[in-house]
Amino acid sequence: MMPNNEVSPFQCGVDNKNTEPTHNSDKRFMGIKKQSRGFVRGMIPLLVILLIWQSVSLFLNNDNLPSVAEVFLSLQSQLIHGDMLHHLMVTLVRVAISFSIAMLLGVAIGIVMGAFPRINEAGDSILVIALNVPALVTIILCYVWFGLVEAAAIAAVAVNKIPTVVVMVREGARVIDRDLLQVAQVFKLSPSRCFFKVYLPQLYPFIMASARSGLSLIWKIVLVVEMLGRSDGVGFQLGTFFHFFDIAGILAYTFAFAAIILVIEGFIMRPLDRYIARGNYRSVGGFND
Amino acid sequence: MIKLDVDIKGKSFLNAQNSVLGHLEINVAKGEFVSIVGPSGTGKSTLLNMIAGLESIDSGSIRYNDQKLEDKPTCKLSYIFQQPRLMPWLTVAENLRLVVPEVTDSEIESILNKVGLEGKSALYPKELSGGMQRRVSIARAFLIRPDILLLDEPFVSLDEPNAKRLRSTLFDLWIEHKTTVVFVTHDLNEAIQLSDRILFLSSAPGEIILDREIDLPRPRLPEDIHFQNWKKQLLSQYPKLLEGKIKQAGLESLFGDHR
Repeated sequence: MMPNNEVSPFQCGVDNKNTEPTHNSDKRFMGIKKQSRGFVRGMIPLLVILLIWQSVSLFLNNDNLPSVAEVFLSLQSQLIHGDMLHHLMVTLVRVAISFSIAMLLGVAIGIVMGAFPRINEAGDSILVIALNVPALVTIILCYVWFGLVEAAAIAAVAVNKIPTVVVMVREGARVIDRDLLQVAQVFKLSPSRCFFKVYLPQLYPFIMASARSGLSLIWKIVLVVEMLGRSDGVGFQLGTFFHFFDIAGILAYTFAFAAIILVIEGFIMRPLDRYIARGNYRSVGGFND
Repeated sequence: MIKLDVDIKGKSFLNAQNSVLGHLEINVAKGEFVSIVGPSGTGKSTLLNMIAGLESIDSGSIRYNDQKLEDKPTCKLSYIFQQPRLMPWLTVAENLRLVVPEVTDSEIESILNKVGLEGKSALYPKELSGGMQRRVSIARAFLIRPDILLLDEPFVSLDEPNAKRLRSTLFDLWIEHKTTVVFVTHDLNEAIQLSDRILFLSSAPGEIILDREIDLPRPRLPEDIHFQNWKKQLLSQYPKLLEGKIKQAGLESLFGDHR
């Protein structure tokens, strides 16, 4: 029971002013409620697609389009009796390593190109070529030059991703707020402090954007790399299923890995994005001078 | 505390046809509060940037206690810019800690109390009003216990009650720290209220056309009769002063020696 003078922030049919959450716990609860609603809303189109897919597959009754139930059964069987977890982990490790290398090198090159116009001028044509070389060419060349080894596979993926990271970070480095750097200069901040506290935070939105787009691109390239020259991983398994025309198996692996990427997006990328945007997008709480 | 000696022969920008600053010779004594007043576009901000080492000097020199600017003097310099220039991704406390990493929480609270921002250390700049952000920039400037403080129209575009409160905060902190101050403004009242001395800058290329000590007792209030009389007398003696036109209009002879 609540005292008479208190009104529940979630009480229906009360004055709008009283429904505003006043405590942090209330705000958190409201946030979770809002997120849950968003999740449910996001699931509806997915369920509709699954429903259409199930109906069409039942109507066609063709092996080339297995039903949702068949894919689910294949997924279950691969997880319990097969070695799906092993292949998923192998691919995930390759994604993590190549992603880290691509981000580190891409950010470093992007900063240098954005900060130094002469270096940018010199490197721009190479960057344009690198952006337009087909991923398949890079993969084949890496395998031919370095052999069918793990390092070649990771290098091929990283080389494909680096140019897009460079382009995004370079744009960020070009629009760095010089006024804030002047603050660092006037107050005699050490170079490392200036870089990590003043310069790099200005690039975070650009780095974040390239990381998010990079993750989705990299895992697709990793699958091609695995299919062409590795003996394990999701890509290798997809190749095997293709040879046996096991469409349910292909879809089961695809959904399993896509689910992992969604988990990474939800539990790592989004919280990171919110942390980075903390000072820029926080709502103003009506403070007046 | 340090004294500041500026001797600049001129300053022009790459794409500009004319010089923005002419020959300038400014000497600021230790602990002195000097205001520079002049119309827009006379190079006031450029001058401050040159003193701070943010702009290069074409010819001439800037010395802090006889140490040349290019020799990277050891003195502590603070600058309050026209805009607060706080890092939006850092809280108020983090913005202060950025310039003095070893500062304690109690020292942060103490300086925030002085500028009237008690309990706001955990907020982000976006959560503060314009006036509050400026107060954080004042706190940041004084936190390093500067030997010399540069201010570039820090109260411009603020409403008068806010500007008045900030002027008073600035004055109190100056009294406490006795820092050498160079204050750029286009508000004559503000300059008279705060300064020991006012330098008037001509239209571009900016040169000093009048150097006047203020002999009014403190605290000075614009509504005070002595304050108004002093200002009236100054402006009646030099009617073109605020337009920065004494020299350009060839009126020096009418006003006698203005240096």
